[in-house]
Amino acid sequence: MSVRAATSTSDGPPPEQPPSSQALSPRALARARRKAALVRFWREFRRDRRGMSGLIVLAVMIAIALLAPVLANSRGLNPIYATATPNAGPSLRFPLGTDSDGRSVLTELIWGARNSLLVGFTATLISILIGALVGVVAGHFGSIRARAGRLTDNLLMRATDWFLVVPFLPLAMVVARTIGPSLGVIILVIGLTSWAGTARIVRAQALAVETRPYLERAKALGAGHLHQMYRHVLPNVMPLLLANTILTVAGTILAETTLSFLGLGDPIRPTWGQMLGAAYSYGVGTGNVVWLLAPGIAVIIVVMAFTLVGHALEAVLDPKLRDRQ
Amino acid sequence: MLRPNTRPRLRLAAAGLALCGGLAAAAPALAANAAPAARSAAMSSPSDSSIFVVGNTDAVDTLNPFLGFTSQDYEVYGLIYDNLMDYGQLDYKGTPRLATSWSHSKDGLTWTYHIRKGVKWSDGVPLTAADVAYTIQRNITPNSTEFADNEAYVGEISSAVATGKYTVVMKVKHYTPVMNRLEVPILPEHIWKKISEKQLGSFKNLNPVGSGPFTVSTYSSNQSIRLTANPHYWGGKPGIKTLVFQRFDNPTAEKLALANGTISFAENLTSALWQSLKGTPGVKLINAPAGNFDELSFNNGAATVTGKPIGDGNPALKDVNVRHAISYALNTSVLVKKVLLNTGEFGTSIIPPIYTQFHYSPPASQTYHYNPAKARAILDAAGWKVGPGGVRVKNGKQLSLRLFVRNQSPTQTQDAPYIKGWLNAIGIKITVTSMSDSQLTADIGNGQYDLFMWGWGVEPNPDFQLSVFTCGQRSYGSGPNYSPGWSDSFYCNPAYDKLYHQQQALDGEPRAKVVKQMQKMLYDDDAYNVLYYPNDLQAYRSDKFTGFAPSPDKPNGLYLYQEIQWWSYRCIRPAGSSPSLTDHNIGCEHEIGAVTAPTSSGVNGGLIGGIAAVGVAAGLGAWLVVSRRRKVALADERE
Amino acid sequence: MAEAMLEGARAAAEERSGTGAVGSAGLSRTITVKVLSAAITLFVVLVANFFLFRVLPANPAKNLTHNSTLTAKQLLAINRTFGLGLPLPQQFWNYLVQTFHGNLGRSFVNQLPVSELIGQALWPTILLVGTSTILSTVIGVWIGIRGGWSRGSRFDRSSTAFVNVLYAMPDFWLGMVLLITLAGKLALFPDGGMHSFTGGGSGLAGFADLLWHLALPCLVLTLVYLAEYALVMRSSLIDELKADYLLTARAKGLRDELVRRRHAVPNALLPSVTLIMLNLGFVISGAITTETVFSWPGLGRLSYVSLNAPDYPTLEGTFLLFSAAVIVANLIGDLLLTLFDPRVRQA
Repeated sequence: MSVRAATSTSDGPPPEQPPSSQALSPRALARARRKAALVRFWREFRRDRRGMSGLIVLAVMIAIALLAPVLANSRGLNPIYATATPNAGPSLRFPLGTDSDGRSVLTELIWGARNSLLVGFTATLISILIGALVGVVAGHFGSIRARAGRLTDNLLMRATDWFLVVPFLPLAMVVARTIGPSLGVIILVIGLTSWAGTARIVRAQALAVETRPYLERAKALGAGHLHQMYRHVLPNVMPLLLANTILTVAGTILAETTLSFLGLGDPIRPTWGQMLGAAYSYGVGTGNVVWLLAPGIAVIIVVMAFTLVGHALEAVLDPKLRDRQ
Repeated sequence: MLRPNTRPRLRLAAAGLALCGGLAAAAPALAANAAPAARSAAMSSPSDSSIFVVGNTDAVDTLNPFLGFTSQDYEVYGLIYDNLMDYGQLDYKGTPRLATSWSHSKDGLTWTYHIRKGVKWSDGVPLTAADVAYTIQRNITPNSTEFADNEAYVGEISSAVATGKYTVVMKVKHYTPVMNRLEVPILPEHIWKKISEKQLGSFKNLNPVGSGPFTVSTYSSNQSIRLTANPHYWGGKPGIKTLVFQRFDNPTAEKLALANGTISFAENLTSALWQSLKGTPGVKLINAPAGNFDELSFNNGAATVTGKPIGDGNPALKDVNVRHAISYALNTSVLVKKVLLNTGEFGTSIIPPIYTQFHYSPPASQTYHYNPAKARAILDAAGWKVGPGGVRVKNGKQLSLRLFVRNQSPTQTQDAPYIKGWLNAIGIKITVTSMSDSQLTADIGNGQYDLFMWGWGVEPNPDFQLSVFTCGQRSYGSGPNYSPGWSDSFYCNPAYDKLYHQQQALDGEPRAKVVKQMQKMLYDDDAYNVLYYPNDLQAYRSDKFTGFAPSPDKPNGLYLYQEIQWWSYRCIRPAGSSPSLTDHNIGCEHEIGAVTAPTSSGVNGGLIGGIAAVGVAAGLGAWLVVSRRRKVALADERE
Repeated sequence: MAEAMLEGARAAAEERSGTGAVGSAGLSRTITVKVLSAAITLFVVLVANFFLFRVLPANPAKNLTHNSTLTAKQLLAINRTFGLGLPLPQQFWNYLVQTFHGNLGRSFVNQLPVSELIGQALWPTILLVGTSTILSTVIGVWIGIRGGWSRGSRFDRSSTAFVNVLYAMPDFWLGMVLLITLAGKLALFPDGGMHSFTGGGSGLAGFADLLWHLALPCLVLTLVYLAEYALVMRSSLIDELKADYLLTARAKGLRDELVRRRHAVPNALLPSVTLIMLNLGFVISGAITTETVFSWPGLGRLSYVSLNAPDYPTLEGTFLLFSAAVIVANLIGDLLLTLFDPRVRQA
């Protein structure tokens, strides 16, 4: 069984010498080193064909989401202006057909991209923030030999275990139903229920980082806990955290579709999950099957893209994992 | 020498065809009339054809008639129990069921009911007046669950005594015409006397003993229930042997099941699914006006019965002009067209048009037809000027309203963005929130709302619906959680209350006049905006079953799930079976396919037609043969 | 998401193993600690349950009586039945006692005991989730092994692509698509439910009827969750294949097949077993939506139906059951890792 890499690429081989022969300040040196690492990273990533294709798809999706007002008039979302035949199949004017209100499914799909990605990113942000915080703190204090440190670690890990164990969907359902459904609630609920996996991984990585010599040096020099965590531990868990983030977004987008399908979403703002839920409630198979197929396929494409990019990132960052591709 | 002539062969062939054609045309008429018994026997002997499966999105969740409240519960209770009376199949008058006749004293305070003789409970025990008296007495127990359940019918009864084996005498506190329509299920005393009031809440009644046309054979709570026909039912043996009610969680699956023929009747399909069944072979669609309406309700000034204001409703809504503006701004016809897919009617007053006796239809000049310009003018005149962002402002306050939507109603959820759009267009800011029924009920009770959408199912007797708007039905108790009454508009008008009490003591045409006055009051004051009257959309396999008794008695009446009527279930029979199977059953005189004229004329008609067809064919054939012979003869002669 | 969990679990296990070899005495101690840990987690679930379902929601009394006017006496009676109105700590104690006695309260909707509702819905869910878990594990692991062993081959590339698509698919979407095509248009399968409406018959005919109804929902759950197992098994095997001891085995002249069967696969299998247990939480979520789409009368559907009322006691009961199931499964998975991972058992 392999474990998350105990090494990180930030500690890679020594940097190339800067072109100028002048002696540079340590900060400039560090910057140059980082830049070189990034270039190396990008070159490696580019070699991964699947990761690249995922990245291109993502770029297109994000572009569509950002350009939504340009690509599709937002008036098309307002049902009082929709005069077309409802539940009509694809036609020249409506390439993906119309929904039960006579709105263009394509317009909804484009605007849905914006809202779905928004929910995905925001929920992931919450999840990652909490997970990283818990993981770094637990890992840092867990490596201290003092009992207080161990206790902190244990408590945090118990909490993490609980969140890992509790089945996500029932919990999300109850919280959303109790507070009242809206896009904000869904974001919050997904964020609050999915940070545990990240915390586990970050903690493992943090524990490994804690054993490195330069951290001992920093402690000897009198660095406080906060400084250690922020300046040393966190940057070293960042790369893995990034890969984990990308993978988490895939999960949150899927989670949002499920919650919206169950009727816990926002009835006004369309997301892909919302479209699927509406297609289910108002009767698919009444004329426009594309209304059900299109958002589903869109979700599959985006989630796959995120997954491919995430796995590629992992491979580049962790040499051990590279062989798996 | 005779040349072989092909033409005669053609002519002979033509003659033969004509004969066959004639016979073929006559055959069905002949066969149907000659051997009806044989044919129907062939159709109904496979057990499959007499299992009638109804699909619905609701299920029976309890067999205890005092605890159930869904439409599916009531549908089944009326099949396993008999009410004292039901609404007649053709009109909405109280029709004898277990009570065969009744009369009242001159002062209207003593009522005598004659109970049907010879009825047996499903466990064989005879049904007598004692059971009726017991049931009514139990229902009027003060502060009981039973009373809360059936108060609308038994509210005025003070006692019920069995004065003979088949006679019950009831006394009422005030005269009420409801005593003509006591739609209360009669329960067996020998079973229910063992269940105390305390035990009532947990009594499941899994093997109900009833006197109704069906008995329960298997029951899965909240999923399905299987009923077996009672062949000894006093009202006639049902035409089907087994009746199944199956719940579907997935509305599309219900539609698919009907299209496949797995179920025989589909209830509660959304309008889109229902429309998509058009053209499916063997499926008949029913677009039945029903006694339902959906409304946009206003917070007319929430207060308790003592007049104490409660809640946080926007005070702008207390101004009738603002309510008028909102009503003029809504293009309800579009909702009917796009959300209901034309299976409903533009809404006006609170008693739906199918109740022709009571419905109030406002004159066109006073109806709130879609007129955004007028809406804007009204708001301008009321001092609401359009401010920044297009939202109207008055005295520094924005005209911003909350709209609550029930997540359990697909149509109302679909309506919400339209209403939001139209009100935005006249300068009102709307925030839509989706919530559960219980949350909405709590918010309404506390007056913490501005606008919401809900619906009502109105009974043929409008009394209850009218009572909802009386001052006495507002919330009561003390904060922070007030106890809700039935009022969800907090309309309070002493003049209205006066009319309400007036109509309670009237009947017939005088009553209808007062009821219409009351509706006019509500309409002019815009207590609710009745959006539309949605039709009940039903569909069934007409290739498998027939014999329904629609109510009202029209092609687009309700076939099942009727207003306090269950006649149709006993009249249904497999397609192709003889009408005589059920048309003698009580309440089935007007079933579909019932033979109203004497059967002999039917036979004669078919037989005559058949004989005529054969005669014509024979004549044609004979002429062809004869003319050929003549031709041949001529040819012969020529040779 | 479950992959992340697995990595975390591996990390935790590695860390534990790093603290020294576990002797037999140490083994029983470790097991005890793990069991206690699971018990504490369960207790935390109970507390959370109480908070979420009894403290937060609005007064249920009105919901019970469907808004008919209540007298003060009736309100008191209802409050007494549900134990509302008492001070919170008292309510919590009552709740704990009742739960341990199996009394999960009464449904708000139809006043039936929640334990009864759950009891009726338990078997259908076990049948569906159990069958699909077995199938998805077997198929997923097989795909993973074959793909991992023949890395880069056409089978590997196509199966990985196929599995990635499945992983990205919303389960209810797949369910709807299959329902409309296979059950609707082609009428090859029923439109829902567990038995034919007209009575499926008994004995062999009834069993066949049940299988026919089980087919589609089981297919959906199997397809959606086999992706996890396939991916993890594959990467596990690839890692394992680099191990030194395998090189030795090959050098000794052992056939590939034997190497695979006797050494690589069993060691690579362990994380998959752990993953099955960890994944249960997600499979349950999948069951909720799948049961709804196919009207399968299990716990998932019960949750969905209770969600809209909202029928808090029933939601509470199903939530408790789901959590307990996942906790127990996690414990089993954890124990399996402790007992069978060669690196942990060094004594």
